[in-house]
Amino acid sequence: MLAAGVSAGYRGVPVLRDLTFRIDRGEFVGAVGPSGSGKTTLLRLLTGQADRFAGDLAVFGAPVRRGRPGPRVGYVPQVESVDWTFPLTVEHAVLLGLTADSRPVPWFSRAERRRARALLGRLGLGGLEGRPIGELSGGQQQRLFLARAMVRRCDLLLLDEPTSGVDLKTRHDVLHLLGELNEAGMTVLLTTHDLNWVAAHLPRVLCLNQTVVADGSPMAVFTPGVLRATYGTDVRVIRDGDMVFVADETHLLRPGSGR
Amino acid sequence: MFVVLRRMSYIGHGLSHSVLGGVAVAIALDWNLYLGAAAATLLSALLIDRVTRRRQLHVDAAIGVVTTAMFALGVVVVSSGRGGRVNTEALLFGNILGVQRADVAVVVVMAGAAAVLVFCCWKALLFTTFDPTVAAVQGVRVGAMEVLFNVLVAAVIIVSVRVLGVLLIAAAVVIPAALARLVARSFTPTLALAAGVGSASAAAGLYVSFWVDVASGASIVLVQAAAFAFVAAGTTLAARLGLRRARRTAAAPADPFCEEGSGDQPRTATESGGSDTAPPPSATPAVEARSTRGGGSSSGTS
Repeated sequence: MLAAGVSAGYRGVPVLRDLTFRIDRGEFVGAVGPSGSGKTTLLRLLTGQADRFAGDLAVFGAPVRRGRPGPRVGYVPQVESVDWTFPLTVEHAVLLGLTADSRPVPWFSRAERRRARALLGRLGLGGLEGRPIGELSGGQQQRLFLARAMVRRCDLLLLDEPTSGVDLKTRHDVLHLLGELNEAGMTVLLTTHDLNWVAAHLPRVLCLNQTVVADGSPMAVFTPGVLRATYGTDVRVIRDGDMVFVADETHLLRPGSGR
Repeated sequence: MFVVLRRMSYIGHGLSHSVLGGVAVAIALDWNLYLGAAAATLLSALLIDRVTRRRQLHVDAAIGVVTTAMFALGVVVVSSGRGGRVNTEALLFGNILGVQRADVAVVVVMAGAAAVLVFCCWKALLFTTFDPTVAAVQGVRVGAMEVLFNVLVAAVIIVSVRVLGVLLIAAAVVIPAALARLVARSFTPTLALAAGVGSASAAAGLYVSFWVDVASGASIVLVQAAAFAFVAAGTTLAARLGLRRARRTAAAPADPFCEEGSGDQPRTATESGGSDTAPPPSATPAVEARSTRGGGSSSGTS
């Protein structure tokens, strides 16, 4: 994935400016930044849902345009983005991911169903195929989205805030799963608000605020200066050996703390 | 079905209003009525689609703007006298006796075409309805599906306006699907049920209108509404019963729950457990009910 001087946004209003980065095949990258910094726009840009005003953007060597998403790209939106009372079974929801390559009949072939079931089993949703999607827990819903993205061949996974609104175990599970997929060659780009999660687990982080503020390993990137430039507020960075923690500045409400 | 799932229930209502505009203009220009109705409805459907794509507006606003404008156009033409031959009442409330052989032919042809289109685009329509964003990413031509969807709704409106009338069509589009959603949980049963309820209630409504001698469209809608009310009441009742059953089963092994209460107020708990006749004054009604119910069911099982 290659972006060179990209400026992008919606309806003529730019959200991202002069964005330049390169993500190689097989990388695992987290994008962080404050709300409105363009994290989601970056994902939308890569999936052909935002306007590009300037610069070049290519995924797997193919240019990405609005309405023309990059090839072999899987998108996992936030789980709140759909109506979970929709009358679909788990298996059917995954199978819908195959729609574009499937025959023009209302049903899915036996081979397609086998593929979906195998994938559900691999993602720990085996046995839930016939359940209505509304009965899934938050973590299961996220894995369902993952299965739907992967059922169609994809080599690049884009995940929008997979850590927000889910409990600790789900976070671990999703991370393990993504780690396994990444080991097997999948390129992963996700957005998150959780800096410490990124610092603890991901090899590379992009700090975004309208543009790329910093890019590199969390150890190198998470410095008070970079984080101030990204978030516009002071944070405390604690280093311990090969670990780095980001903590909120303390005592903000104490008298005489400068506020 | 898709209409209800897309929360566009009022599109039927809106599009049918634009039929009036189309028919009135067609008469004024001496065109075929179906041509006028079809042109107006399709135009409205496509305009709604265009307006909705602007992010600031939701589909309800688009429907409100486009179709009332078409309706107003119809009213203007009718009131100017040039559409004088329009039977406004039949158009508004439907009249099955006005249906002619040619109308039936139109209905059959359009229903056939719609069925073929839905059959071929089924998965794409469903994916677009459930999650348009991801559908687009995964190669579905979402824009084309939106247009197709609106055209299909327009077709339904055009073929049923003769019988149901402009004001009553929304019910035919919405009620069967809404009813089915109350009962069924996966997609195919929901759809089959909606189609079944739609056809059955139409037939029943027609019989009622024939025997009681009332307007056909209105009696169909009333039959559908009655069926909906019946099912809604039934599901509510079933949910209540299910809740009560769940409470009872939950209360049986809920002894730890009672113990937890006794930990807080040891004296009250022993009193209420010892004598059923005299509830302690300090116990709240909720606690009291829970402990008696738990005691009752546990004694029943033992």
